[in-house]
Amino acid sequence: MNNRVAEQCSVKRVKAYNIMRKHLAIALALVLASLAGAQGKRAVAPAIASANAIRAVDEIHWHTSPPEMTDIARKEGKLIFYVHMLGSLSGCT
Amino acid sequence: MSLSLDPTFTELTSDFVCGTRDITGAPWAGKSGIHPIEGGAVFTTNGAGPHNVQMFVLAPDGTVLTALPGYWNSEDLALELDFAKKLYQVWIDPNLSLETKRFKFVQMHMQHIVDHPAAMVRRSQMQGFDKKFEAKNRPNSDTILAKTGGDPKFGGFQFKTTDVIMHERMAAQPFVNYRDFNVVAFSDYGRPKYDKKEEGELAPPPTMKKAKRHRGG
Repeated sequence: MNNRVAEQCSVKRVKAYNIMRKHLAIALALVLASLAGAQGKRAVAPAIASANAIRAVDEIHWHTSPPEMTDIARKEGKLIFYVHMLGSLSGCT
Repeated sequence: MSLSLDPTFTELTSDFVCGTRDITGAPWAGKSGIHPIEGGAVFTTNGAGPHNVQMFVLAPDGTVLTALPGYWNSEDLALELDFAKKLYQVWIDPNLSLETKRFKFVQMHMQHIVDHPAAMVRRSQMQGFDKKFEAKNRPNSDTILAKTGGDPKFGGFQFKTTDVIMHERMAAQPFVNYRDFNVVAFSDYGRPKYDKKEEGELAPPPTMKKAKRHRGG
């Protein structure tokens, strides 16, 4: 019984995580396309924008701490790609 | 949008440590309409929305190798990421003095303008409302190519493309650390607020009430 309850809780947590991830992804899409956008340009369907953004958020780890970024860059011998944006990934831009 | 598309996506996942910063309230930050997460998006021109988005490529020690204001097409962004890698090789070259490195930095940025593909230049036209703003408010702006021979609706001015403006402004700040980089000087052109109608005809705009709820307003 307890196991079943635990399993249900776990499923709920995964679903909540997926919803949150989707929201983060869509917000990212809007950062560079919508937020920076301009008049009379080709529109992208929300579903496509969402799919593209999920890819970017899922497969790229986005740091928010500059010291952390520089530490990792030094250790891994990589350059840093740092995006200033109006708004945040976790909500409306 | 450009970050999730190749070739940029592959470059970012393999060769870069990525980070973001919310610049709301920063002196160089612009204003924007509300963009709820269910909204659509647009492909737009390179350099559109320079006050709202700035993308930096930094060396691990925080030195700014290059930066791009606003939105950039994925192919064009990838070209600039590759360019930043070349600048990094100059930055870490133990055989060059700081003065020589800075000289090369300027030279390489200016040369890269010439090397931009024609398609990239076509994608780098400044937005009409930004041209109007510059013509009206900054007749001596470095964004102006010539004061005659242009469209009358932009005061007759001809404007540089954003790919040129970007490299020229980068060349003015050779190998500067991020903490000392003048973001205002780099990203300030055009209107600080955008009305882009990005929903197009693909999705009905949400109500303002709903949008504000998302923003916690």
